Formats: sequence, structure tokens, C-alpha cells
Amino acid sequence: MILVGELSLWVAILMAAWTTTVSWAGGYQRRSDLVFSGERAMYATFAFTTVASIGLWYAIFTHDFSLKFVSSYSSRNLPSVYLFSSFWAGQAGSMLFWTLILAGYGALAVFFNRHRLRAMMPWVTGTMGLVTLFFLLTTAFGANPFERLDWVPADGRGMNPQLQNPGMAIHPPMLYFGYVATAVPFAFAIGALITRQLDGEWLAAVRRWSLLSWFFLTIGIVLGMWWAYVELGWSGYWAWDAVENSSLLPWLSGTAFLHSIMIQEKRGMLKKWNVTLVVLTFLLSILGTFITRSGVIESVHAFARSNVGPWFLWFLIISTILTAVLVSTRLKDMEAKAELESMVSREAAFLYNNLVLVGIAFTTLWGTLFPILSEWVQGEKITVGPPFFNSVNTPLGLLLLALTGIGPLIAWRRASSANLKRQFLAPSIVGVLAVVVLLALGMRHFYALVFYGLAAFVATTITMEFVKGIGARRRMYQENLATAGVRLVVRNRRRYGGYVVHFGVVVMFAAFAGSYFKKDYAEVDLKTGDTFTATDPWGDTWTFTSEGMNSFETLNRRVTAISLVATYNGKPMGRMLAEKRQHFDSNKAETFEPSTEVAIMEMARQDVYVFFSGLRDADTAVLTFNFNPLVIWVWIGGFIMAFGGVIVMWPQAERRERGYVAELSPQHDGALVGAGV
Amino acid sequence: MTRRAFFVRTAVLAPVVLAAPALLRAQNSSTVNMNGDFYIPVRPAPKPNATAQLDDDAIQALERTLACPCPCTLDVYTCRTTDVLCTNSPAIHRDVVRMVEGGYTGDEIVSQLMDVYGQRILALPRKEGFNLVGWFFPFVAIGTGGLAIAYLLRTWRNNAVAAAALATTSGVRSIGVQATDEEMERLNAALRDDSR
Amino acid sequence: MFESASLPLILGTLLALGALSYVLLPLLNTAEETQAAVSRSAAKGVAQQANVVKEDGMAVAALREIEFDRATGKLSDKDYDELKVKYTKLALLELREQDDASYVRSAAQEGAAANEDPVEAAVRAVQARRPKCGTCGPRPESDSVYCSGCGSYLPGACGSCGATVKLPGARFCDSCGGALAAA
Repeated sequence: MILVGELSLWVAILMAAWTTTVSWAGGYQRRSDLVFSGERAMYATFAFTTVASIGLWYAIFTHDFSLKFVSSYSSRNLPSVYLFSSFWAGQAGSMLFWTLILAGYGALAVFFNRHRLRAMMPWVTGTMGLVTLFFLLTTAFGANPFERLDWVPADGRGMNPQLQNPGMAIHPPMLYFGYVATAVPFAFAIGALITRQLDGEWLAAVRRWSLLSWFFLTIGIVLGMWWAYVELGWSGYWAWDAVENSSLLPWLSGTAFLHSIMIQEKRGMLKKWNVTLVVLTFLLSILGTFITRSGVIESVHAFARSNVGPWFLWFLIISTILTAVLVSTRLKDMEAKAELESMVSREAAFLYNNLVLVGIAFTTLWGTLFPILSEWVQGEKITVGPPFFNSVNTPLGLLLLALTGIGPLIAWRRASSANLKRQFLAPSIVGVLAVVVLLALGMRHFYALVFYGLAAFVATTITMEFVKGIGARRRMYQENLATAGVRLVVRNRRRYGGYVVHFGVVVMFAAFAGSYFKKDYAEVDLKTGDTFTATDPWGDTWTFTSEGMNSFETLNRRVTAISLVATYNGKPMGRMLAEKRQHFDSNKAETFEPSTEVAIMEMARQDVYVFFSGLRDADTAVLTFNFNPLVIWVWIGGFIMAFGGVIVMWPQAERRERGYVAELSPQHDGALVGAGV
Repeated sequence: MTRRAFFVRTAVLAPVVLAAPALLRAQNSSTVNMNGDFYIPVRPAPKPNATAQLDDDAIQALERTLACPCPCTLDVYTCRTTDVLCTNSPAIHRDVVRMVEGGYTGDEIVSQLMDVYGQRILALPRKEGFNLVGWFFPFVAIGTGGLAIAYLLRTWRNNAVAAAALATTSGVRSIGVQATDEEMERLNAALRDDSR
Repeated sequence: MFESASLPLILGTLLALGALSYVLLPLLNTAEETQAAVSRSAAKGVAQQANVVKEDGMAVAALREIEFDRATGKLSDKDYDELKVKYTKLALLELREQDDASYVRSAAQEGAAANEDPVEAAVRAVQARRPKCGTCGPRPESDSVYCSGCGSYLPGACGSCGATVKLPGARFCDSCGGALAAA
């Protein structure tokens, strides 16, 4: 089975090469037989990549440690959930996994669009085939999961304990689903540019796939934050690490695209910009992959050092150049009659929203790459740490938050100033009121005040949108409250789903601002029976009494746990268990460095986060206590965003003909003539 | 090739061509190893009659401005209190404590560390020299983008004004549409029907 | 021993050969077979398009939004009036364009249903179609140049400059401005 998998990888390479060759040749020569062959080859590529993946999973589950990949990232005593996820725990396997998703997306894109977009599809298929080919070649020659060792170890090295976390089992696939999905709009963009068809069905296809990519990236990023928070122990969820940044980049440009595409749909404008964003999103996801896998920039994600880096770099350079040349030859086809009724309009707000989103992406990329640039220019490596990103991106993020509130208040096409005043009045009052209340309560942090003022402003705007929308429907269609409420969303999923996403963003930003009030007590020594007293950021008193430590063995690890009894203003809050873990293999030999499992008590107002740093002596634990305000709202905000994404993506249930298009057919023609004259 | 096409190509290709060698070089020279030893001892002789200038809180604050040289991307304080694997940040912490006991002030400690590690020991690049480009270029770029958008919006608005003026002055109403009752009825029906 | 080593190889080879024949089969078809497959695919494409929820045209969507924005108080009455007039005109033009498209599409569908090439069927239908006046509807005479009801120039070439005038019912040529109406 493993050998079949390995062989399949090579067959898949041939199939992908064939897909590209015949699809492009078929598109160029308009030969349908070639095009059909290309379509089938795309399916075959997917089939063989699947067989190769099954082969690798088979090797993992049967513990065939003669494969270097299997022995490096799994072991006999690894729980089966993590056996499954060890497929993507290392470079080689994750490359194959990535390719599997890519080939699957390619097959789906061909399957759903081959009849409808017949002129464009050969180019789309060929492009998908080419990208797949690149990933297959990189997998086979740069990081082959089927590479064998000269000898067979008795047991594998096992999986890094920090990856043994449910969040980590689904975070990478979600991110990959998102990253990889950017390839499909890219392929469609290439197809549309070559055939010069940038409207209509193309737009719908690209929008669907971009939305899918956005959805998975959102989930993947939030899960990554959650994993970092519960697993890494430094009580934060975002450190502007190079790899985190590179997942954020395509998300930002994809978000910009999902906004600006509306202008093309409504006005037929911004075609060049939209194509640019589609291409940019794909290139950024490749750049992110390069950064993650080449070790070019230091990062906690120690995929590190492998020989796939140059592959990605060359792919990035060549595809950037080719796409730029292609776009520059098609500028004329993307000319549009650009007219605007007013400078103050939703269109204008969207342009600025795009500027800020792309601006944040640029800043983030800039900060990530600046150490390289600095080394190149001034010969000295510098560190661009989290404070840089925070100080530069915080004002931009606030601007974005403000636009989230301002945009919906301005009508498409035109807004008069008297009207704007009326629209802005209520949300502004609420926003200012929020700031005044917080000031009265003693909050003095400038950014936090701006965050909460804007959050109140935006939340009011969104609420007003729903309330007014329901009111308008009740007047226009004489519906009752419930019907109007449901229909408002159902009949315009994209707009109101989008507002739900915005609400999730507001919740998340409010939670981010909570981190300004984070409080920590580091290196607290606690003997059995000792009590530590702390004051949280809200001014309440906590006590933690050590019940002592105990050690036990479970599954694949030896655990030392400290048990703390917590009270909150004198009220008992139950037990908190913080652990240190030493993993071992099936022969009880220690693997990896010791790791820790933090104790977290989640409350609406704050998380109590206890980190077990080590032992002073047999009876004294060294602990770090963190009070992290509002962290739970980050996850809730992420959930709301994903939920809004589902609303937007939900397929239209009703299929009906538009009322105003008379269905004219040759038979009916005569009858209509009779009626018309 | 049109002038615009040339412009687009130059704009896209220039950064790629410029960045490629830097990335390639970085790719070749990089060595990322989480457990590697990045620590270099910094142990200047204590000052005579030394008294500590910094208390624990000040040391903590100082360590928050230092980047741990391991690839964790955290500052020294956060790294040493949480990352159980990193041996670099505790070692730097010991050096810092030793220098504090040796009577060094915060600035002196930082400059001692910078003599050994270089600028990369700072979590934030200093706002001087080439680093200024790093700090302010994003704002310049976004500001330029903002102006470009304002210009674009004005152009669009002017297009619309010009088109409207042409339509009224020339007497040619290019969209003077006459509609039959049947057509208006269909249009209104479409607007009334909202089950889109 | 022999079996365990060579079984995967045999299996792999079989898989590869199977895939190869699957992929190469379209190239072995005769020109007629390929053409038939193209027609089938085109017919399915047309059918799928008919099944897709039709979205509003740009102008109708705009009108709908203008109505809603006024109802929610985002548009002032003055702005509403101006936009309403402008977009009603655009919507009417769009509506006529879609009528034409719909005509072509149903011709293609009927062609596909009758096992013909949908593209050819559509072309035939368009050729057979009688000229149509934007104001008064299709004309009874298949070769009329001007509308017998109102005298508007029916789509075709402008008499003075020769440019194609697509706008049904237009009274002036949108390229040279010359009057088109017969009367």
C-alpha cells in the first residue's frame, strides 16, 4: 500500500503535467479533444494524490518507521487522533496534504464550471494543473514523505507535545483549506485575463471561491490564536510572529477583495484592482508558505530549514513576473466607464476600506521583511518585534473599525450632508457616551478608550441597520416583525451576513483592547499549603492555595500537576490544575523537552491563567499568574465572524425566474408581435 | 507596449527584482534552530563601590525591551518566564542581574548588550538612520494611497459631471428612453418582488 | 516473498495504465464524436445556466437598493428623485438587453432539447427573428428598417456615419449624433 502510494505520487506528477500541457494547448488551438483530456487528467491528478495520501496515512497507522517522515513525527503510543494529524505535523507530509487539497479544489473547480465557462475553463484547468504540478514536484524532490531510512527504528520520535492539542489537529487543515483556496480565484483570473472575459459568471465563480478561502482562513487563524494561547504558555494569542503574519496577509487582501468586488458588481468599475487583489492574495499565500517553510525568517514554527525554500521563491518570482506581464497586456480590456454620482458615497468608503486593509497587509509584510532589508542595506540584522506591529497597526486597525461603522451609514452612489448628520447622530452619541462612562469609571488608557468608543459606535450602526431594515420591510411589504426580520437576512444574505461578520470583528476588537489591562505576577513560589493573594485588573481579590503536587503517568507522558484552590473575593471558585509534562516513547525513554499545560479559568470578564514554570524544590512550585481581561470574547468574536461567513455563503434555496424578464422563445415570438402591435 | 503597460510592469517587477537577491541570500544564510545556543556572555567588570541602580520592576521593564535571540520572537522577560525550552533568555537575565549588581544603569546595560549582540537584541529598532525608513515608510505609502484614491474619486466624479453636461448641452439625450406600459409594469413588478 | 514485493508494483502499474487510458481516451475519438461531446457539454452548460438563480441586472439591483435606502432614511428625497430617474432609464435598457439574451438562450435550450448544437440553433433563431422597436415591440415585417409604429430607427447601421446603433428605439446615433428617425 505504501509503495502504491509512493508510485501514485509520481503518476500524479505526470498527470498534472499532462493537465497543463493539453489544457493550454487545447485552449490555444481550440481543440476540444485536448480540453476533454485535460479535464480528465485533472481528476486523475486528484485521484492519484489521494492514493498517495492514503499510502502515507497507511504507513503512519501501521507504524512503518522505515519511512523517515513516519519515524520523525509519530510513535507507537501516539493517540490515534494525533496519528491522523501527524500527517501534517512535519514538512513533507504537510506538503503532500497541501497538494491533496489543491488537486481536490482543482477537480471541483473543473467539475462545476466545465460546461458553463467553456471558453475560459481550459486556461483555468491548465493553471490549476500547473500550480498542482509545482507542489507535486516540490513534494517529490524537495520534501518527500516517502523518503526511506537505511535502517528501521524500533519506535518513532513521536509528535512534538505542543502539537498534541485538539486545536492543533484542526488548525493547520483549516489554514491550508483557506490558503489553497486562493489558488482557484487566481486560476480563474488567469483564465479570464487570457480570454478577456472579466464579467458575469466569472465574477460569481471567483467570489464564491474567495469567500470559501476567507472563511477557512478566518477559522484557521482564530484556532491558531487559541492554540498559541492555551499551549505556549505566555498568556497571549498573537505575537506578530512571521508565520502568524503570513497567514494574516492573504486574509487581509482577500477581505479587501470581498469588499471591492461589490463595486464591480454594482458599477462595473475597479476591474483592474479586483484582478490585482485576486492575484495578490494568491501570491501572498505562496509568500506566506515560503516564509513558513524556508526558515528565511526566524519563527516559533520550526518547520525550518529544508530545501523547499528555493522552490517556493522561484515559483513566487516567476509567477509574479508572468502575471504582471499578462495583466499589463490586458489593461485595455479592463477599462470601464468610471463615473461617480458623489464623492461622499459607499463607493468612496469602500475604496478607503481597501486602502486600510491593504495598508495593514503592507505594514505587516514590511515589518516581517524589514530585518532582511536592513541586513542587506546596513549590514546589520535587527529585530522588529511585536511592539513595532502594535504601534503601527493599532491606529490602522482603529481606522478600519471606524470605517466598519461609517460605511453602512452612507448610501451607495450619493449621500447629502443633511442626511449624513441624521444618520451619524445616534451612533456618535452612543460612542461618546461609552467613552464618558468609561472615563467616569476610571479608565485612562487612550487607545482603550478609542477602541471602546468606536466599538460602541459600530455596534450601534449595525443594530440600526437591522432595526431600520426591518422597519423598511414592514412598510414596503406589510410584513410582521418576525417575517420581516427573517426575510431581511434571508433575502439579502450577503449584506446582513456581512454585518454579522462586522459584529464579530467589533467583539474581537473590544477583546483585543482588554489586553491593555492585563496583569501578571511572575515567578511566584508556592509550597504546599501556601496561599498567594492577587488583585485582578478589575480590583477584585483572588487567593490561590496550593494543595501540593502529584505525579502520574498517562498515555504517552509523565505528568507533574499542581492543584490550586482558588477563591474570588472570598467566594470558592474550585480547583485549577497546571501541569508539566514529560513525554516518552513506548520504551519509556524520554522524548522531547518537558512541556507544560496551563490552567485556565475562563470567565466573561477575564481569564485566570496559571503557568507552571518549574520546581524550586520537591515541594515548591514556581508559578506565573496572569489575569487576561476579556480573552474569551476573542473566541466568541471569531465564532460570530465564522457564523456570519456561513450566512453569506449559504446557497440560495429558491430557484426562480426573475419576474421582469419575459421568457421569449421563437414559438412565442409571433404571439408577442401580435400583442405588441 | 503602451505606456501604461510599461508602467505597470516596471512597478511590479522592480520590487521583485530588488527583493529577490536579498531573499535568496537570507534563504541561504539562515539557520533556525529553536534549541540552538544564541547566548553570548556579557560580563563587564563591576563598577567600584557598586550599588544596584534598578529594582526588580525596573529589571522586568528593561527585559521587556530586549528581544530574546532565540527564534521565539518574544521579549526576554516573557520568554524566560514562560518558554521552558529556551536557555538563552534565562542566561541573559543572569547577565542583566549581574550587571545591575555591578552598578550599571539601564542605558549602560543596554549598550553593553548591544556591543555584543548588535541591534538585534532590541525588541524595537531605534528610530535612527535607516531604521527610520522601516518606521515611517508604511505611513508614507498609505498616505500616498489615500491621496491617490482622493484623486481617483475626483476623476470619476468629473467624468460623471462631464457626461451629464454633454447630455444636456448637446441636445442629444443618449439615454432618453421611452417605455411601453408593459415594460414599466414588468420593471415595477421586479422591484416589488423581493424574493431575490 | 515474491508476492508481497511485487503486488504493489502490479497494483500501481494497473492503476497508472487505467488512468492513462481514461485520460487519453478523448484524443482517440473521431472528430464527430468529439463534436458530439462538445454539443452535449454546451447543452448542459445552457441547462445549468437556466437553473442558476438569476441575479438582478446592475441597474435593477441599483433601483431596488435606491428604494430600500430611501426607506431606511439613507437617501434624501432629492437624491432619491434624481437617482430614480437615472436608474429607471438604465434599467429599461438593461431589461431590453436581457429580453434579447433570454430569447437567444431559450432558442439554444430548445435546440439542445432537439439534439442540435445549441449555438447553431441560437444563431438561426437570431437570424430568423424579426426586427424589434424598443418602444413598440417586434415588427411584423422581417426586413423593416424603421418602426412602422413610431418611426424609430431599428437596430442596425446609422445612415450618416455607418456606425452600428445597438440601442433599440434610439432616435439619434450615439456615435455621430445624426438623427435616425424616419419621420
